[in-house]
Amino acid sequence: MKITGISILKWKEDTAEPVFLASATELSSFGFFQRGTAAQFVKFISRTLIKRTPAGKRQTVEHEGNNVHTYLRSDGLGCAVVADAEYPERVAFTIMSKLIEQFHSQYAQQWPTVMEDATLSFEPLDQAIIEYQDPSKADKISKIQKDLDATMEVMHKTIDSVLERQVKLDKLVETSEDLSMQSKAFYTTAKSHN
Amino acid sequence: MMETAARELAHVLRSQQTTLDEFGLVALAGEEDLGEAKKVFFTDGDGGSKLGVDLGSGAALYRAARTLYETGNKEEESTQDMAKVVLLLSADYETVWNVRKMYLGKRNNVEELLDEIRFTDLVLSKHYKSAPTWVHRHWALQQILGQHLNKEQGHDEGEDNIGSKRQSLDDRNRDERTKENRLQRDTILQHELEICQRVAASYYRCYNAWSYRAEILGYFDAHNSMEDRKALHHERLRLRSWFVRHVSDHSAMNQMLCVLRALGNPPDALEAEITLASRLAVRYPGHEALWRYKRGLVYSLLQR
Amino acid sequence: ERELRKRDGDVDGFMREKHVAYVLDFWRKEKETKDTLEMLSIEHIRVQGVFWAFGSLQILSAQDKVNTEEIVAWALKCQDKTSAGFAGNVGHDTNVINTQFAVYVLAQCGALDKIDADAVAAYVAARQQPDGSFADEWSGEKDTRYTCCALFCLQILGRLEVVDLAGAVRYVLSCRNAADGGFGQVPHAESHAAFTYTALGALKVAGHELPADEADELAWWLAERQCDSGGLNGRPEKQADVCYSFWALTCLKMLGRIDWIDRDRLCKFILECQDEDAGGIADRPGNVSDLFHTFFGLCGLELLHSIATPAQISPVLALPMSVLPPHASLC
Ligand SMILES: CC(C)=CCC/C(C)=C/CC/C(C)=C/CC/C(C)=C/COP(=O)(O)OP(=O)(O)O
Repeated sequence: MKITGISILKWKEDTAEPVFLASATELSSFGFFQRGTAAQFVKFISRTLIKRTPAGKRQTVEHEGNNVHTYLRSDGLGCAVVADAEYPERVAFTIMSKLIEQFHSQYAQQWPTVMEDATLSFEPLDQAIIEYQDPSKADKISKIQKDLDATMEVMHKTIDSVLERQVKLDKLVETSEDLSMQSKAFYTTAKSHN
Repeated sequence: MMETAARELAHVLRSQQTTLDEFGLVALAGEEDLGEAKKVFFTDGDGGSKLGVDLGSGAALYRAARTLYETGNKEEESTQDMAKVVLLLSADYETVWNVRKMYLGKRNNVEELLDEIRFTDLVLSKHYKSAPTWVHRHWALQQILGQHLNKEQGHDEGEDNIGSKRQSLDDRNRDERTKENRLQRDTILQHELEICQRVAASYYRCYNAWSYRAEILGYFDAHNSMEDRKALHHERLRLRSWFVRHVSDHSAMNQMLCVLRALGNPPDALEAEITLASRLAVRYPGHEALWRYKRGLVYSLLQR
Repeated sequence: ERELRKRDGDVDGFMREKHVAYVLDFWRKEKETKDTLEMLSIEHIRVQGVFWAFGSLQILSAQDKVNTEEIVAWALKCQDKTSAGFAGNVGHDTNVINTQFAVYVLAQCGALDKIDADAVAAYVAARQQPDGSFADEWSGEKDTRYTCCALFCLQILGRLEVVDLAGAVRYVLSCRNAADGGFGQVPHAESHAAFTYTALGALKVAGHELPADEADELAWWLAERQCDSGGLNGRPEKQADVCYSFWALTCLKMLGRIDWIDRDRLCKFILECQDEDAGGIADRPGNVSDLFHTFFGLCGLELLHSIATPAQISPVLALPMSVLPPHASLC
């Protein structure tokens, strides 16, 4: 049960791609040679899937044993959590709701104007990725969020079904600026080396 | 040029054998402009613990190393060093592992066998699925435990049976040696379990690693040795803290069943585990592993 | 058991031509260029690669597109003159597993008469241990794979009587996990669909039937291998993988309980694993194909009667019935 990355993004369609506002990763379980690639993939997949989350919706996409949970508010503020398949989905969404709220209250004026990737300092995010590695630690906030829970509807999709017709993940990987040559090379080897 | 690289790598494997703990293939070309100085392999500094080989050069380096190995005299140290380069890049090359078995078997030296186990640590950091590597490791372990540590121990026990109470200087020396052997054996077995844990943490549920880990339990004797009982309890705690956070890890749960069996399936321990599994199954619904585990525990309880 | 009707044609979406082209292309490339580490590191088990490739072509009825004489000549060169065992490639060490695959390749090519069956059987028999298991001659390692390969080999050669079958059965049964009914690699190892196949296959050949309650228990565990995607996994909560469309499915078939899973959804999953670009079948949808998964994907489709093929695959031996010598044909 682990969270690999949490990111806060803006996607208002006034930029070509969603932009990062703040993000945190926890990569200690990866080997030395995988860490760089893993960090880039978190970034890549978070951006790719926030872009394909309808405004106001919550969505979970399973990809190679990982779940990418995304939530995009109607005002364009979004959050993405990359966790393994064991991590309880409810907890992930509860954490996201809470972080987004806190982020908004800290940066209400600023975030809507950000037009390129930024790293706004946001302490609750750094704490969250450490503390909530153990989902039982989120029980307290879960209780506060009970009401939200009841109405929380999550769409479950496969990567193919969220990508536009004719677009394959491979193509996106190939053209992505989030991924270095090395990560792209790893992606291709991983696909042929199981 | 690749031959030189292969020789240098063989040298690094020998001189940094004790510090290297992770190997990987890394796409260096294209990453940055390395120009003429493009490296085929690198370590993170002198005495570093990470060894990377350029993905693009891997095949050529392997060919060069293999040619050097195949044309070399297998009895020579330098050829056997080259064998390690070959195996690092192609861990399923069983014949090369076999030649190493003969080479090491002939020399019959505990330190070298321990080095061999450390070498497989490095190989497994990348080729964790490689069955021939696990098999070779098992072979080396058996050589050490069976032919070196146990032999001297068994010999001692035999002498004890003669019934001589008087301890000569010789006997005392031998006792010391037995104790030392015992200690070394405990350390070695702990290391085996730890390596399996390391693989479990980086590569989820690698079958060969867990199967090996279950086999290691066979070397512990909970009935006659306090130390072994302790080691099994240690493994039990390690597994427990692992799968409360990895509730779909049926491999760890199977290992727990094995540990409990090795401990004689104490009913209180089985019941404690059933309680834990039930709690986890409620907290994290929908996991086949937890239900299978509960069945396994109940089965063990009924078997008593 | 509700049997599906055997098809006259292929299920919709099956890329027959592409698969044939993929295997033939691999065949050609494997000989000419070995420029990747992956290509180089399957050299040691080339005999297994040839088995998967030729087996795939047989299921696709395209085996006449390759030169069998060449294969036979090469396979014979893999035999060790002294022990009569076979290696995975010329110049490599022998073991029971590669010996079985070499015998398989010769069977596929109709060339079993080219080897001395008594000598090969003696080699296999010499690998049997006092506890009934079979072991690797270099490391002493033993597990259900060695037993399975030893018995399959002897079955094909018609020489089962040279080993202690009761001992072999005893060892295999010691690898059964009573709590779930499945089999592991060694005693007490986690139950795994691939090792369950090696165990069940060995028991079948040795003429040992599981008691009905144990067969039910096992079939239930196997049926639970079906995931939401329709594909089968090899053990609880692991990802589905095309190869279990053979290992797990054929075990259900051997147990006479193939309809305990949803066959249509499994068929759909295998089709989704086809590599649209290169041809061949991958382990999972979206991944790159390889020979191993292509062969087992095709076997799965054949067991499901989803493709038209003259090669009816033996669920126990994984060879077309047509190439089995009369004494070896099991149901
Ligand atoms: C006649 C035929 C076709 C075969 C002969 C018998 C043999 C050699 C069978 C081998 C089957 C086997 C045991 C395959 C490998 C199984 C294994 C080690 C799987 C574990 O790999 P993971 O990557 O952990 O796979 P999963 O995650 O799917 O469990």
